[in-house]
Amino acid sequence: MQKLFSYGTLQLESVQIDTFNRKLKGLKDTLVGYIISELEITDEDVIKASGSNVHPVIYFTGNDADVIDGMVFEVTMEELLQADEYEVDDYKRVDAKMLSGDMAWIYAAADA
Amino acid sequence: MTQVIEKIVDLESHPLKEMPFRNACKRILDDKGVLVLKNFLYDSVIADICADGEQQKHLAYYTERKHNIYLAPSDEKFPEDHPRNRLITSSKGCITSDQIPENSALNTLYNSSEFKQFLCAVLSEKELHAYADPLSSINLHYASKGQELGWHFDNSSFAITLLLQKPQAGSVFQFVKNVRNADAGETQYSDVEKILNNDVAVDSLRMNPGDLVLFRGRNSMHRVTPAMGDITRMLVVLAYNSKPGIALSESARLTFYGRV
Repeated sequence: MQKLFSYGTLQLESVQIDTFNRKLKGLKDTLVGYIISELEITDEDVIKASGSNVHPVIYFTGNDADVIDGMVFEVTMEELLQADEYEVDDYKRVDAKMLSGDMAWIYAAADA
Repeated sequence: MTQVIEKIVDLESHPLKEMPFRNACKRILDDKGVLVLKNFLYDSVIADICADGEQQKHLAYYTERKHNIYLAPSDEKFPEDHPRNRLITSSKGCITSDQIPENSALNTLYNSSEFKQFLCAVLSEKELHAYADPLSSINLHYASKGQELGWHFDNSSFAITLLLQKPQAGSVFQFVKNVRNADAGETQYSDVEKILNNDVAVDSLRMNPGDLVLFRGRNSMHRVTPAMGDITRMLVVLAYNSKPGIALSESARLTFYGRV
């Protein structure tokens, strides 16, 4: 299984079922060295689906004082690749270290 | 220029050698008919290949041709406006393998055994080989304002592409999955007509520079809408054969490349 960190709507059971057709198993964890900011989305399909042209995005700072609380979920490789497709183009999947010491995939700003 | 696949492909996000990754890719392709691996190439590699593409653009062979969606000669049994014979326009520019710089990352990727083994596993092919002619293995396609690829079925069972540069708008890859079963000789004229008349909802693929796309287009009708704006779309097609020593026919080379 792959580990996927979420600080946003994927923590909601309804979104998990919409996205992966199942409820995800996960544990609370904290991402260190990143901050949350806002990103203006230009993809019309995504704006239509989400109802907003501003989405949260995380940026790497490398500063240990910058932390983001969320959940680390277990997903299959297939689910991870499908999640890549759902994500808007301004995000990139990268591996990051959690406060627990686990490594997990995160979607961060593509230009970071 | 980069000459090892580790410097070209983001192998952390796309571990080509790992069986769980290969199996997941295969399941998605088998199920959906299309697999998109986002951000497959590193940004710096895309930039290098784009720079080469711009530099070689003056060598491109431009074609505008009319074809039916089956990419076959017209059938006199049907009228001209029948879906079997309806003519559609495709237009593009293209440079060929021999015009891709020798030290390009595209050559490294195309010839990489790790990449080919991944493709074999995902595409259910035993072997993949380069074309025996010097033109057909790697093609870089250019689509400037108004240029498009009209609706068609592919003759080959799979296509492998890498998008390098998006135009300002347009150039949307649209498809309708499993319209026919070519191996069973199906033509599905009624469904084809509905698609040509815009009476069917079509799927659109979101593609970005650096994305690798594997598509099964033999039974799925597809097209790329006209490019809009002043930025030229650049797309690489990586073509392989299941047997060694096969060249694209001379007539096909003359049609696509204007030379043999």
